Amino acid sequence: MSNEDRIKGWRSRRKASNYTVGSGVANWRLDPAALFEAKAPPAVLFKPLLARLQGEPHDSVAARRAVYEAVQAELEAEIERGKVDETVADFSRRRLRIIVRLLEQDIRAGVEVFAPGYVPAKLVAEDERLAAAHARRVERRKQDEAREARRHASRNDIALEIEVAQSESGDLAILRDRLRTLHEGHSQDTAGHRPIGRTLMAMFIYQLRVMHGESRIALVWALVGPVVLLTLISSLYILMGTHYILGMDVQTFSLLGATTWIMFRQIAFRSSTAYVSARGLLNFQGVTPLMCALVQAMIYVSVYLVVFAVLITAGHAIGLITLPKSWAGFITFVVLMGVAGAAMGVLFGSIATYWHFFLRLAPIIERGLQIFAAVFFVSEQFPEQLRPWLLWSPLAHGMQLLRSAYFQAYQSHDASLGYFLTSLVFMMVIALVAERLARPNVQPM
Amino acid sequence: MIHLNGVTDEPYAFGSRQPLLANATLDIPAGRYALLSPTPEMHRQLVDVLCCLRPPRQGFVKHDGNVSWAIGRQGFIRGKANGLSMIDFVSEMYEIDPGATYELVADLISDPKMLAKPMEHWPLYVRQEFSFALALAPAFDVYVIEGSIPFEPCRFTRLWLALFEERLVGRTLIFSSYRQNQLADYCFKGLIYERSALSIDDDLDQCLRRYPPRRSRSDSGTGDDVLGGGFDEGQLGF
Repeated sequence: MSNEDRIKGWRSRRKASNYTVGSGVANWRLDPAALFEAKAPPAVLFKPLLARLQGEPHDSVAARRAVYEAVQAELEAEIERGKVDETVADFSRRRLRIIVRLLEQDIRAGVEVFAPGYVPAKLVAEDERLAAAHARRVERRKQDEAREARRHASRNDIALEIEVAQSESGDLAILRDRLRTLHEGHSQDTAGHRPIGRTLMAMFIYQLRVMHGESRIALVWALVGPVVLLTLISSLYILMGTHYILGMDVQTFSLLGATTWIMFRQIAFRSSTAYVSARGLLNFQGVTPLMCALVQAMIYVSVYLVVFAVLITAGHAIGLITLPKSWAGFITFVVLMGVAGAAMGVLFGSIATYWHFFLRLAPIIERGLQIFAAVFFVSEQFPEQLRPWLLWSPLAHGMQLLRSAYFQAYQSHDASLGYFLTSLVFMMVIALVAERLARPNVQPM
Repeated sequence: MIHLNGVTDEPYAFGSRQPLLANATLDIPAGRYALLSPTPEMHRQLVDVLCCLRPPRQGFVKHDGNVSWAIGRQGFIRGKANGLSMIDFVSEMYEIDPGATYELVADLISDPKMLAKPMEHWPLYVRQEFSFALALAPAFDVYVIEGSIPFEPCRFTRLWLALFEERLVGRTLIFSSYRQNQLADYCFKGLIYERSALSIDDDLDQCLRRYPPRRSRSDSGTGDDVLGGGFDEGQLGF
């Protein structure tokens, strides 16, 4: 711009009657305070630019470009002077470029840009788009910084300071304290040395709670099953006119057979299912499928001991059931039958890990065993030559020994304690060997 | 520290026996490892073996120090039992104070009221929070995480991460996830599983390029087990 031009410009402005020297300076000066504010409107750049354009020659593209460049240079100087953050500076530069582009378009289209209240039509929308992009860039930069801090912490094995809200810092302090107390009380090296008994007991209590959470009618059902079967067996005998079998009254005889057998089958089925299916808890170290099976066996032995107690007490009260000769002997044999059930359950469960269909055969096998298990009769009721057909089964020995321990009048001559116990140990060994082979097949869920 | 000694394993997965490890011998010293492989479908079985949740067919895995369970799995959060029973169970098993564990978990999770309800009714976010919160209670030396570390911006995530960050210092992390960013953020080395062998690679970035994490294809469809269903008869013994 030459000196001549400046004088010409000053003269044209002076023609306005209200002109005073220096007025309008604020209109065309960039305001550094407002320029880099977070939510400054586009007017902070647009208004000074327009004012300056009006005051300068603006008839040619070159003249206008000179004004735009001057504003841009001033903006750069402000950025430099205020040491403005690069992202914010970049936002202002882009904003200026958009304003110039839209303004220039309107000038070339012949729009009256110096009319009061003029704003390029698309300025607000374009500026919003720019602001959104700016916000995204800021967010991305924050994330990058956070990620860099996280990775720095990982690489140097230091704790990353997590930003928590003011209201949460109190909670964090309390939680930190709790954790410290918990970890101080925790023994240092329990890896692989956790006592099995402790885990078993924890599982036992947990399973009891699961049962408690499930239908409580299931426990009542545990009573109904034996009652129905004992009624069936008793009524068959009574219908045939038999009230005593080898000195044992029919009702008690049936009660012992029915309840013990139902306990046996429940333990066998529940423990075999637990072996292959209770896989949720296997996610904890130290919990094994064998434990899951044993816990089920323990639970069902306990449940049926209670069932026995209820049925014997109630039956005795109404004069149907006789009391045992030896409670200890009776309970011992019931528990030993439970152990046999658990051994069979583990064996069935182990086989099922190889052949899933096997568990569907288990009830058929159980039915077969029931015939030879002295549930409905004892071997002494049979002729001598038929007895070996019954006495091959260790379960028959167990049931007859149980009745011998219960009744004063009956002492089994056929049942052998040695055979029963040896078979029991044999069954347990087979079950444990099968379990060892099957163990890697059972995966946590 | 986890030692694998001549471990050979062929677990049953996806309908057939899969060779998992063949005579693998490796010491995994303290550090932060991203479990990476071309077959993320087998990570679950691998984590089972590393955590001693399932014994391998041959060989053995030995732990020095307390190794966590696979944190992030929710297999045990199911059934009729409520969260308090599960806390009791874990406290009893790991010999920690159940009262303090209740308080820790209840103060940490977003919706502590759910703890008293049966776990089968819990929404997914409660299960996730519970599984991560409970894992802080025992003093583990090796943290094995399967899945994603909490990342949603909420109170639970902030508090859990703050506690976990402090706990992890000087300890070991083995992390299996399909989220590449999290693997790069939390880990420093690669634990590479390839062709039935395990190895440690110090250059995590290169490992991530070679084995870009992806979601296991089995994630959507393993379903519940097919064992033992349907045979469960009544108790009427005849």
